[in-house]
Amino acid sequence: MALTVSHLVGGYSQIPVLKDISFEVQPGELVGLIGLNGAGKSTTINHIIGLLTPMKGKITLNDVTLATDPQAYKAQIAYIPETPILYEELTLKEHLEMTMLAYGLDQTAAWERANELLKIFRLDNKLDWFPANFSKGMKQKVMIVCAFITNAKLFIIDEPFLGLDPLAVHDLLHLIATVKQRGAGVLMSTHVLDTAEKACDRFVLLHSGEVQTQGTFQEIKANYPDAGESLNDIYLSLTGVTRHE
Amino acid sequence: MNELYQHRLQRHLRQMLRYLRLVFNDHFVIALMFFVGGLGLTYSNWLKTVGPQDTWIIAVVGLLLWGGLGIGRVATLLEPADTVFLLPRERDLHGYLVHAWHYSWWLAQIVQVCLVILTLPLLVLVDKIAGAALVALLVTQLALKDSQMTLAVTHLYRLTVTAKRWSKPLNWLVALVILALGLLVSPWLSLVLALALAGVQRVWHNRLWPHSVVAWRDDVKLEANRMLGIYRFFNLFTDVPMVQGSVKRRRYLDWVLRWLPKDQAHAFGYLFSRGMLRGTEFSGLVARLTVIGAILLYFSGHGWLAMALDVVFIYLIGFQLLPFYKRYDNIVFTHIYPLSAKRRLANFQRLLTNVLSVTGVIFLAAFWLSNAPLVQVGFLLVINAVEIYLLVAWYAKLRLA
Repeated sequence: MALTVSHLVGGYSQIPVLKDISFEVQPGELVGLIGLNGAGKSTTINHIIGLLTPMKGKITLNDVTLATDPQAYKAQIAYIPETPILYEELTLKEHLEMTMLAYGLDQTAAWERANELLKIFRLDNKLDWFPANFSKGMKQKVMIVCAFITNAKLFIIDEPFLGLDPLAVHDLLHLIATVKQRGAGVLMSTHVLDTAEKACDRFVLLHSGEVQTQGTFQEIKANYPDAGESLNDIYLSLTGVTRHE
Repeated sequence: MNELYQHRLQRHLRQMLRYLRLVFNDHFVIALMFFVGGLGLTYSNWLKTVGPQDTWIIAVVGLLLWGGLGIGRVATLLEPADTVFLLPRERDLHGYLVHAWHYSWWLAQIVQVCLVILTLPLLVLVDKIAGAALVALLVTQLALKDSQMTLAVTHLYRLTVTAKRWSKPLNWLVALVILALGLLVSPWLSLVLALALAGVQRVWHNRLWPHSVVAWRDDVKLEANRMLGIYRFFNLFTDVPMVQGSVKRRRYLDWVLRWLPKDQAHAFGYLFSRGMLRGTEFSGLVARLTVIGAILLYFSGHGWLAMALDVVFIYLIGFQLLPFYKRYDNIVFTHIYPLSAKRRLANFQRLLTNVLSVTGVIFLAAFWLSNAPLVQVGFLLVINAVEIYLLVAWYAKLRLA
């Protein structure tokens, strides 16, 4: 079992944003975390990566919690933020090296993988540049490369599809498939529901800080036969938002 | 539009006042008084040696007055958002710019008057200009500045490529000729010519602007550059948020980095060392204080004063470097890397030790070069080592852990 979130209550202040959330991400599985703006996706992610401490409930990653062994817990996670965040003073090459040092990766093997990824995302001629000056899409690619050179057991990807060109989206989905194959779990939050519908194995639908429903697309569809055909339709009807058409 | 400029000007002046208060703090004012006093004394002493035979001085004064025309730009106070929000009222912008023009005009002319007054004794001594002719020369200078200001406002509008490229150099050239005539031939001639030039510029401006579009992008960029210049100046004395944190690659320092260990235990050291060398903020601080300290140390001679200075400067540098520890706190990866806070602090302490040791060695060298006896140099070495140890191992830990 990769990631288990059980009865998580949490948020930024005294007032909880998340009210009793439970879900799992199994090894080799891509789980889509779906929800409107303010539904609690980012808050959930911040709890999992350890930026926030749960008020109640527990987050376990392969039997380790953040409280018992923070290093072992963090070493299992690779994170791709929604907005690219870079160290201003490090070049692209140094960002990769920093990641390798921080995760204690074997330099030779990691560089082999890095060079492959750099080629895929067409960054291989920019190793000596400061990525802080890149365009948003290119910065996002740097984040992707940094995350995918690790041997993480859980990848957490926050809204990857906005800002990436279609080719990069395709390559990213391919990368996700590769790490799934070696047994890593992936938790991905997104608004791009058509892509999610095709790519994700299971879905966790968040609404106002609660898990509205979860399961595979077929399961969700079977549970709500009147809600519509696509994930988009189902999601909109479940959130109870009336649309003006 | 009129109110808008007044409103912005007030805000701008309030901000400038705040910075000026920071710059002209008590110590700086005292230092400045000594500096200006010393300069004035030197100038007046030098004036006693000057006579009509030193004709080269006329050329220097001429160039000084000519170059001085460059002081003072148009403070439009335009902001990037204006290109969107004021665009629909482009016609009315002229009213706004006229306000900017007037404010900048007064400011620039005050500087010009000071400049002429400063060079006045030289003109009297060397060029034998006196009385009303001096006034004529002053008015010449003001009229030349006026022509420049008018042209600067004209340049806020979109001009033809030729006009844009040549009008400013041409105005500079004409100003040079007029000043030369004023100093070499007659101030009255230059007065007439300068007033004519100012008139021509004004006529051109009034003819041109009603049929021209505002060069929004250029104007906003110009204003941003002007403000950046001001902020840079203030940044020499105090922290200005608008200038902070530029990063330079500084490839020539890469050899330093090769000395440092590269493994998981020193991952934060990898980050800290690069941030320290390439970010201008903290490296500038260390460099400035080290140079000033070394110079003071060298000139204060050997003895207790020098040693006290050494201790104070090392403390100052170490103390001001502490906030660098938190420099990467707003970057999420700093927190999610599988690295302990203990290691992070240890890495930072190592950086602190390295930086302070370099400073310490430079101070020791300055002390030694001031002909200090070797015993004292050795003594200072021990003092430095103890101080750095206390700062790093005890004080930094106390403050940061």
